[in-house]
Amino acid sequence: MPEPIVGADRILRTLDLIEPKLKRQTMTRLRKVAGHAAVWARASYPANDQVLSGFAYVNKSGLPPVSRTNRARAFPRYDRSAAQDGVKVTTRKGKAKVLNLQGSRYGFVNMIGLTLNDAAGSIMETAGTKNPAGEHPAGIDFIRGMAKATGVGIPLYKVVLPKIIDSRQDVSDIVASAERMITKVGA
Amino acid sequence: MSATLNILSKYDGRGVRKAKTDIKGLTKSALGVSLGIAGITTALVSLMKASSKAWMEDEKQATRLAYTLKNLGLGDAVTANEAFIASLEKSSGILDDELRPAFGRFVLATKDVAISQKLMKVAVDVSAGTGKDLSDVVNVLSRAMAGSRRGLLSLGTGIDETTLKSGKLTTIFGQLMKRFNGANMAQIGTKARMAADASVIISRAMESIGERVTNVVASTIVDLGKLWDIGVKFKEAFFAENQKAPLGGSMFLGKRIGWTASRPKGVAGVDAKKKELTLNQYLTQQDKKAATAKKQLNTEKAKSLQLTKLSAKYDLQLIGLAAAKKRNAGNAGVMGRLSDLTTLAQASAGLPVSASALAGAKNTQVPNVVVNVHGSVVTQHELTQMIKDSIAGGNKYGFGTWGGGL
Repeated sequence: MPEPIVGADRILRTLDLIEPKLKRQTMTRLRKVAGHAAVWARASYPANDQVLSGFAYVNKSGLPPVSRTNRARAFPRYDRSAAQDGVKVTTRKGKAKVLNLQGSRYGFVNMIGLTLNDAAGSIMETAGTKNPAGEHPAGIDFIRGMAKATGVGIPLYKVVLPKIIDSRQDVSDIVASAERMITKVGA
Repeated sequence: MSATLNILSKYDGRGVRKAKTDIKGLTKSALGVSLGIAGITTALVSLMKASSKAWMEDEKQATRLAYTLKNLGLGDAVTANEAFIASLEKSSGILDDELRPAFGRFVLATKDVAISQKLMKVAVDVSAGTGKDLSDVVNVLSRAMAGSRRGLLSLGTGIDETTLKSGKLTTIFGQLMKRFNGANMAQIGTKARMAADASVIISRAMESIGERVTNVVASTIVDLGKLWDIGVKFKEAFFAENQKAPLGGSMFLGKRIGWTASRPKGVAGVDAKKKELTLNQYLTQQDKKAATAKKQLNTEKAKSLQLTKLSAKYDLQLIGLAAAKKRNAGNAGVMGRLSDLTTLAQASAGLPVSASALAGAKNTQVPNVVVNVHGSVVTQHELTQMIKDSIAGGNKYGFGTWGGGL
């Protein structure tokens, strides 16, 4: 995950105190940037035939595909349009991820981000992600396989994350302009 | 399954904050349990601390008052005065911590223990009658003794301005005693007095406990001091070349534990040979002293006024020079210099002077230096001062009736 932009929440909170209209404008601009990232991410999903066999729409056995909603299935199948529909802009805060020994949560939570509602799309994004227990070998295999299948040629295969990283510059600019607004209006 | 990828995020430490609050609560509850076990010990220790502090404060004030009395030459009355303070504490319900500074102020104002004790009784009565703090009353009364009586109006004693303007202490204190006599004793039995008495008793008890606790600690320090002395003697015995007083030693520790010594003891009672005055007699004396001082001041003012009038009428420098000429008539050299000075003074005053005499005087005389009546050279300022003194002191330099003649 990219490094968080530190202090953005405080800047927005201060801007809200000084001039709520400006804060709303800033949030609109941020949402617009997130929207662009989402559009770009949707376009980046591979075609149905580019995914690994486990994701295949048609089983190798030739049997008809099982319903996507069938939870008894071992692995969700990939459908490009479904994955594209699953990408949405969200401002929901969510839960802090880090748990300390006492069970208290802390860490960074979302202000503006993209949520991936499709199961296959989510797996594609999160497989092989490092976690406190380490990096799962199956996840590493998946990333390598996907990189090979799609021809991206990089060992770390992600669809949405690169777009988010690319949009960071715009987000930083907007936050900086918000800070300048505080200085101007506050003065 | 869904995943969220943050574009912009913020730190959320609510969980940690909650955990901290929980731990604080846990600590408090744990403290509550431990208080149940160790509560008695803590309470005892705090009581010992508080009582030691109370006793040390009490002793400090007693020592301070004792030294004040000693410095005023009233060291014999220290013990008797402590007994008086104790009895007044019992009868008035006012703590000795408040009584001692008040007494100190009266002693400084009157320099008499017996009179101060009588004034203290008046102050306690006025305090009980008016409801004002004893310290305020003592402040006003001691100022009144020193001559500033305006504060009596703010006390609400009912003394009118005519009485204050008369300035007689006898009248003022007479009115105070007439109005508030017995006000203190009249309050005995009231709830407020019972509460005050209870606080006095508690304070006394704490001081008593504190004295014992502090003595135990002090005796421990003394024992340590003895050990130190043994060590020093041992060192002296074995290292003869180091016979000089060691750093610290018993003297050092003696100074350190000086505060544990008992209160200064004096001979009981006030000096028997000295005739004890009543408060009224003392106040009459003070009034007489004030009247004499006022008369003296008026005389000085009159003399000063006369001098001002004379200086406006006559030229003091010329008067002085004329007087000097009269005195040094036989001394030709001095007379010549005096004549030159006279010429210069007349010229500066705008009087007609011959041009040749003025030129001669300017050539021969050093400015700002004159010859006095006895022939010695002094500054002009000294001469003028001497003449002023002669006017104020009734011609003590034997100038005769020169004032009108010149």
